[in-house]
Amino acid sequence: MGNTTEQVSNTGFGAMMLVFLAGSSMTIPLASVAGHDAWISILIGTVGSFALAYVYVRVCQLFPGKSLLDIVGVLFGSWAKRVAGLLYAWYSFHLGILVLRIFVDFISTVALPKTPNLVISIVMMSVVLWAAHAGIEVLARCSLVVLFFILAEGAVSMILMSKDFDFSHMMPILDRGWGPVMEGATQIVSFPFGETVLFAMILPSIRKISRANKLVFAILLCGGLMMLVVNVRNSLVLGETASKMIFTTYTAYQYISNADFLERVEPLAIVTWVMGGFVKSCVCLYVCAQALAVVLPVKHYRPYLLPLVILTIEVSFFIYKTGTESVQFALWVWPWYSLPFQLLIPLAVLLIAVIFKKGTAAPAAPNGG
Amino acid sequence: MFMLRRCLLPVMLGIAALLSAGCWDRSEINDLALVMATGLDMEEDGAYRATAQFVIPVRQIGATSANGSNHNFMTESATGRTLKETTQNMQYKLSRTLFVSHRRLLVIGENLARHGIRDLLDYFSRSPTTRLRTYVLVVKGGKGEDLMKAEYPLEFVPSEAIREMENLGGTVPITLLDVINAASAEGMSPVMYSVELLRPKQGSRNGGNTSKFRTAQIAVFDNLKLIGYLDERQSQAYSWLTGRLKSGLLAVPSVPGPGRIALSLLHTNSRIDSFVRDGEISFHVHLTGKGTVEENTGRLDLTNPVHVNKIEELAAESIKDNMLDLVKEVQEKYGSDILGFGNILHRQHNKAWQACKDNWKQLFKEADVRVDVDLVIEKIGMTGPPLQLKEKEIIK
Repeated sequence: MGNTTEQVSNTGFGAMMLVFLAGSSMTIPLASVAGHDAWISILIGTVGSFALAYVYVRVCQLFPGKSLLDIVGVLFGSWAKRVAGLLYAWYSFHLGILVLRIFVDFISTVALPKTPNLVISIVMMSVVLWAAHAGIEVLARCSLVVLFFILAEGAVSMILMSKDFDFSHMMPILDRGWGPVMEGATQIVSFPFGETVLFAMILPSIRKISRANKLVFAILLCGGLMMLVVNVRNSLVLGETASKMIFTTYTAYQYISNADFLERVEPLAIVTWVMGGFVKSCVCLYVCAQALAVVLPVKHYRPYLLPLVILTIEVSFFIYKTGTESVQFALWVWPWYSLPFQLLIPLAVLLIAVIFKKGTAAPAAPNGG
Repeated sequence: MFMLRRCLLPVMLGIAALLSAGCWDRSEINDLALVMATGLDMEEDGAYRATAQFVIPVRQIGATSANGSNHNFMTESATGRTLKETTQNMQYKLSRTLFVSHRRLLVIGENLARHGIRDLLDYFSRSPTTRLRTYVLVVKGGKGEDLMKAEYPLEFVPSEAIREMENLGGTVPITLLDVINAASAEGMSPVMYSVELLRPKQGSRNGGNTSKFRTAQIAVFDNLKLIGYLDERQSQAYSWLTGRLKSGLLAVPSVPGPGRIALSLLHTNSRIDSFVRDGEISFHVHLTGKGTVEENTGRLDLTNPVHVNKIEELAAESIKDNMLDLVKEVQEKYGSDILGFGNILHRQHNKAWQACKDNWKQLFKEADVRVDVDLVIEKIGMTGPPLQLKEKEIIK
């Protein structure tokens, strides 16, 4: 990749990935096909995501200091690298658009109905641009702060909602059978877990690549647990309604009412969403620019940021006509569409690397190749 | 470079300050009409009529009305074919923007409730500003509009009185979410608590010139249409059965001898077990609770455990009778599963439920229900026998 001087601490990387996972997925219902059994889907999905993550982490560990795209270059030559770069640039660009669009839809539904979407997008993306321009190191440190807030806010909301918990909402277990549960699990593997494949472009920047596998699995596990807790919490408060609402967490926050004065704390949910959306958009933008830097003659990623931001905003307006389309797309198209990026390409790279015994993972040469 | 950075911070902060004001959606508090409650009715021609109660903020603090003519609240009504249209029509009559995020009470006139609430629920759950926590009540034998316009001097806003009464009234209030969940669940019909508007008698003085509210009875719905009310005893039994009872009251005759003993019920709980045997469905209701003796008009000395045990027995018997009476009334008269037995079956015997859910309405009426009550009288108050009795009158 164009710029490998940046170094990210393992903690910062972990925080970034955790917020990336939790940010937008905590606010919308995951595996809603499974109803109140979504927690089983999340458990299965988390375990399933380990397999997915294993592939790209293993690839990155075989070639320390190299991103997935560089590795494609080593194995298949520079043209393959450019093609792969273009593909991943598109994928992260597309993901960035979706993140922005669903963010704007949410904000304009619950908070700012009269404000033009363009204004919301520009405000959001200008901060994202700023952070991405500052580099991955800054973003990782940002994520730590955001993560702290998300955790604190999650804990507080658990306490506030606990008096409205009704455990009978969780019964019967496997109400609709295994079918919907597995369907929900596959959705969860591709969103949000599979999307962490973007971090295969950032992994080479972390300080201790040898511990990357443990780190990534720990993060996936933590992310899964966070989603599980949030999902169960929403179901306990809202019952069957939880899987039917579009912004479940927000609705659950609206239900909080304690001692006649602790009311209307739902802005907390909005802040969480803004912060999570910010980190996710940043990662998408950064990865997209880095991938373009591989493809195109300019070897630094920063010149690509501004045009990409403008394009993201533009495209986010016409990628869907209505929110309905975005939900349908996320449920039925996205998992299959993502398959090559999340699994097939990394898997092919790994297989080739292993079969032909390539790789520079000798301990003596951490920056080899 | 350093200068540039120094300039950048104020500029950024300035931009942030401009943007965080809320852009196009900024709303000043003095441009908002704070809706505290809404009453919904149905007109003769089938249109909705909504009446909203607003607070008048400047009159909230200190300035209680001296002559009684100044209201602390204002009401406005509007009609429309849909609720949104109704809201819009109401907006046209107001100088301030309707703001419903703080609404805590929704009352439904009896007419509308009998016509059916199916079409109401969507508007409130779709709107991002309505909280699902809003309490919903039926106005027994009256109109929501009248309730909204009734005064209640003890509270600044009359609807607040109803809400507080709901909170105090010994039961967990029923919210919009509860109604929606019960309506969408297959083995369950929703209920709502009802509120009654007691009109002042003509010519009566001293507090008799304002209306009063009374809450207690439970409105029974079938197919989201109001079909009747449970009486007070049945309502208490219902609340206990569904785990909504926070505190209750029970009077049992004192045995032996004349008089009655009043108990307050606390820590009430219920567990419902369902059984499926050879296609026969039965339910076993297990009620537990703790009682405190609050009043004893008989002659018993309650320091004697024999008497207390006897009262426990009688109380348990009475609770059981009430519960069976409730079940019988619901099964035979209403035939609507407001008790949530179908839901219980669904949770406990999913397979049996899947087999019988299409036929549940009929099976519910035929289901066998047994009740057992486990009531413990823990406290008898400050004294054993009534203190005013002479020694020889007390039954030791």
